[in-house]
Amino acid sequence: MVSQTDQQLVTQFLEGNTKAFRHLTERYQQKVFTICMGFTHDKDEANDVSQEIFIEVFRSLPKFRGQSSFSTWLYRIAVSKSMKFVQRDRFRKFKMSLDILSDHTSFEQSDKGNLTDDRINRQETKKMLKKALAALPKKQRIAFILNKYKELTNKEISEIMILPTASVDTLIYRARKNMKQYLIKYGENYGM
Amino acid sequence: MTEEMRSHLSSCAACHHTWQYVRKIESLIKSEREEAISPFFMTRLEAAIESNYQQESRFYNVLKPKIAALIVVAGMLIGGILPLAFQESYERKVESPNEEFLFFELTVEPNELNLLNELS
Repeated sequence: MVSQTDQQLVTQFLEGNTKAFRHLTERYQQKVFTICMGFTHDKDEANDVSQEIFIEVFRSLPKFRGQSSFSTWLYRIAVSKSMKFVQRDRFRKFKMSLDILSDHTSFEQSDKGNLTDDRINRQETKKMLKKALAALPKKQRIAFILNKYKELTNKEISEIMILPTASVDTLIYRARKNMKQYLIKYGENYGM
Repeated sequence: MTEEMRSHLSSCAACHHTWQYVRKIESLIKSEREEAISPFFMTRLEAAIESNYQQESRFYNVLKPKIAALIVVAGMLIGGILPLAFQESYERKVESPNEEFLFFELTVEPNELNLLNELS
């Protein structure tokens, strides 16, 4: 099974061989998880989204027409599910922040009290990265994450996003520029 | 990094801050990229697929008789209403020439018809 192509495994799965799906999952689970990390920045959440993605793949494989490669199709599902999760999560966290608004100071103090300097630093950086990415337009964010986390080539990203390669080049260039500008502003507002 | 950049960073606080942010973010992305998926992922996924499948089949099993009943009722309604509607429009079509004929009959007096016949 290891030497078989994705397409062969997909065909076997559609013929009723569930082991083929297991092999496909084993082949791509880490790659999908890395993409999810780029969107969620949290290991547990990335695990949950990865699970949602493979359940979706299991359901939708009979509809896969093979117009693009399996990996491109899978990464498209991964991006769309991760984006939905981030939106849902933002709403959930907003609701949570409203709930704890009255107890905000004590919560923050007790939360930070248990952490080492390193972890605080890491959390601050994570917060900064999340904000910088959230400030990017949707397409720039997707292109940047696929490029930085998954280290996909611009051609691969263009196939996933269904865009010309030149557009992906521009999106990544603009994303980096916007990130840099955001960091300059962040430095001006918060200092180091 | 070039010597020129290094010397600029040591003298410009703003650029120095931005450079530090960039380094921190690069290092965070690298560490996030190296995170490994849970070793129990496959087990959890298979259990989730199994439970989803069971839920769906339970859902369909509960709904199946209801859906069947709905289809029968819809079929009866469609079977009862549509022929009536068609019949009505058919009757209207059949009636319309008669209506015109009646109208003609009412507007032209028999005497007038006789006069016309005589003249021709």
